[in-house]
Amino acid sequence: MTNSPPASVQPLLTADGIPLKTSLQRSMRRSKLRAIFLVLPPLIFLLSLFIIPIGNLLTRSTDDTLINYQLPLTFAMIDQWDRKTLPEENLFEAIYLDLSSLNKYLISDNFADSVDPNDPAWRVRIPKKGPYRDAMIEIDPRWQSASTWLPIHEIAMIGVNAQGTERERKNKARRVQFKICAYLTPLTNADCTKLYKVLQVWDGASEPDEALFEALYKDLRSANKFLVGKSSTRMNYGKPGFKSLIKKSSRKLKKVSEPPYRDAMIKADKRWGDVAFWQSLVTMQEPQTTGYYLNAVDRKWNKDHEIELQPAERRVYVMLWWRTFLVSLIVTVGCLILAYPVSHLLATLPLRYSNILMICVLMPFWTSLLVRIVAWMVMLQQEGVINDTLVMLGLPDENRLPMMYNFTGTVIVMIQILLPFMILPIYSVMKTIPPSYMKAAQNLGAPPALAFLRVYMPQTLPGVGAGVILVFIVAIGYYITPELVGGKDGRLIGNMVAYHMQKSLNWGLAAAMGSILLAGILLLYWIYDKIVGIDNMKLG
Amino acid sequence: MSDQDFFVRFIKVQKSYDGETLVVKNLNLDIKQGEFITMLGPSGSGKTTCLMMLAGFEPATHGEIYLGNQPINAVPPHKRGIGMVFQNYALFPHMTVNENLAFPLEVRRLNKSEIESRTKRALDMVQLGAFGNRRPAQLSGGQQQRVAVARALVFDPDLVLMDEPLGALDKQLREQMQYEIKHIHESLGVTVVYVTHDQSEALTMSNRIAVFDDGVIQQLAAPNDLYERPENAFVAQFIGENNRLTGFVHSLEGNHCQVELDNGEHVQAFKVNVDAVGDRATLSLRPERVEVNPEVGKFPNLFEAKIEELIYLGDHIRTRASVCGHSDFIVKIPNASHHATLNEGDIVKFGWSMEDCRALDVVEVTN
Repeated sequence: MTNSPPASVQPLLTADGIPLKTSLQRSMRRSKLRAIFLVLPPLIFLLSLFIIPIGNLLTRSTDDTLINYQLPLTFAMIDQWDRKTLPEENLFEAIYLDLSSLNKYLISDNFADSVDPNDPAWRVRIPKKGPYRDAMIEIDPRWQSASTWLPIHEIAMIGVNAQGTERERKNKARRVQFKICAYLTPLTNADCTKLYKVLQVWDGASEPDEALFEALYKDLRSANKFLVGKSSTRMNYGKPGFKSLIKKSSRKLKKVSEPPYRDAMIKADKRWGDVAFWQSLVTMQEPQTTGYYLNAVDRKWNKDHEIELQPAERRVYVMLWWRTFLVSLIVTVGCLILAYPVSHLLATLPLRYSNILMICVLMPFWTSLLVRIVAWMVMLQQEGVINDTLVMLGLPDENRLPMMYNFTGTVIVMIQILLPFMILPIYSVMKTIPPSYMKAAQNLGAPPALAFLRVYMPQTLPGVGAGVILVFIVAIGYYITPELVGGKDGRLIGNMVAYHMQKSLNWGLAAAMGSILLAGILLLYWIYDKIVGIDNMKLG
Repeated sequence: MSDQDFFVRFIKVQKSYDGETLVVKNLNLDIKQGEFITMLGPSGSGKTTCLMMLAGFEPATHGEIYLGNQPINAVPPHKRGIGMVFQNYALFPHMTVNENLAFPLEVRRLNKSEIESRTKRALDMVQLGAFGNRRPAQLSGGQQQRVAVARALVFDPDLVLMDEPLGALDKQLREQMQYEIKHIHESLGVTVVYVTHDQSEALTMSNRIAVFDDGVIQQLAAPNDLYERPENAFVAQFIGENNRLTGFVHSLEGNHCQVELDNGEHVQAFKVNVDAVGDRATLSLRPERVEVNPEVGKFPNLFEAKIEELIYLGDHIRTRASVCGHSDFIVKIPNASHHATLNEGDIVKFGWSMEDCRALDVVEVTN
């Protein structure tokens, strides 16, 4: 505002001598502010509920850092292995230490490329029954100084100093315990109770004593158990059986504490002697993985960093992708065929009839999705209304049509549910086409059918395009209908996403599938733009 | 004149949409080949319905329509071969001008070169030769209008219907288009049935005008007849401006009569459709047929008038005066150099001939 204009250019002044630009800015400021305020709520909504979750989804689908945190030594040494024969003792030692020792949490340079496998710190043993202090300081001397502990202490003090009711303070304390663990480990849901307790008594300045180290040891040990569980699940995605292998052998290896580990481990579980498990570890080495994406299309990395097909019995997703595509296509075409004449009627009937028809179209919209699906179940099942009617009309009782819990059921119900999404955009476009075009075409000599094809239909294309895109996009990610009426061969990719989110907890795979869906939709959108042009789309 | 001479015939045509009221009541209309006939009337008078029945978009409830001696009631619109210009042109928005013009030729399966030459000829006819590749939305209203006319003519129909085609244009463009359509009609010799509610449009272009009101043709006549010899009060007041004086028929004599006005004055008038002495009658008198201060004895009708208001309109001075108890008596005084000047409040004499003052029936006039 106070910037003086360049001397060479004489600024325009208002009547009372203020520069015109300043005056304009002042007068516009209010309306600009108001515009920002108006846009703010949807912007926040969009950011917090759309952009951020999708960003999170995309990162999750490639994130593989957890396993790198778990196996730093193994991954640092695995490159020296020939990947064909069973590894030597040093690799066995590495994985043994990675899984059981807590040293990785204590060493500051503990991640990926910065790991030096020859650092003796990795092999310092902390006695199980203590004393812990000396061993832990030997691993990384910085633990000796109070300043290393200070940040953890600060976190703990947030919980100690929490205000409010007892209940609120308790919750705060609990959240702080999680935060302490998140500071020390890559885990956000491990619980550092013991550290919290002892940090409360520590003054934050004196030299850390044995009690602090004991709490650190014990909390890290329970956190490590947690991490081993998580990473063994991840390892299981790479090679089925890994999870049970680790579970079983970690129980048995408790007694083992001295090298050599190789024979002891193979003795504990002979699968350690299977090269395939070791080979699968190679594919987990990178902190960013495309493994989830490959898995989502029935492929995987092999030991030589080549993409190969999953074993035949594990190939399900490609078929599901095709089925999802096919169902979406059939549903879209079905909706179009049914919606076009209805929209035409809606657009051309006198108002009082078209209102009634519009209510009929919208009624399903106002009805609960579940109610509608259950109604369809009543209609379609083996002993349902349609089959009963057919039997009454002479269909042999043993030939009742299977229309539920299969592909057919999914398609029928989805068409009914998505029909309004097709009708409304087409209707809104048809409404704007004056009847005089059809009259003119006929007057110029075109029979009604030709007039429709050459004159009416091309003008409805923007609505058809919008309807097709809308229905296809909704259909391709559809979940609830296939879940309820799909049965075994009516399941779609959306159901797999839900399964991996809720049941198998393989969020990486679910995220990868979601990302592929998103990419597919964007691709369709792009193709649509190339062929029809987005500008031509009319949603209402 | 035998029946064969007529190109389009409406015979006792009636039309009802709801089965309760007739929109068109017993229409009989004969149109000669090459004629420019206008259906003129207020909105709701049934003129557009007649056009739609002729085009085939509305079936006649009763009666027959003949086109070139063939009954066409059962012929679908696309087989009638009638060109039509719609009210809002109905140019197909997804086609270029060329494609619009080629459309009627393509559906008639003409070969490509023929289509091209005919399209070009039609576009040149409306002076839009350079606009063939534009979309209708890229043209101005007047240009769209021309394209619509060209499209209605491109397949050489014998009959072209026009449904208020100039309604959306501004006044100047409308007048220009009137002449253009008139000239196209004259040069092609095509029969045109034109619908409008604008009387000046009808007077400018038509050979004959059918004045519609209430589903009935009130008068079918050439423009000058219609203006100068209206056959009833509706036509008289609908076409052009006129002064209306009301009274009773006092005496009848040959083709003229004497009407006693409500203030007791007697006016000599031309008898048109009053039947008996004692009937109510409307006297219709065009404002430009009144002479101010005429020579004594020139006109049988000579009355005292008081000038109430003078409105200067350039080519003439519109004068409102009180005559025979009517204070809204309008006289148009041409702004000629020799003409006397009047002032408001002057008392003068107005005179008019018996032939110009037409004794008509009485209608309830709303405006």
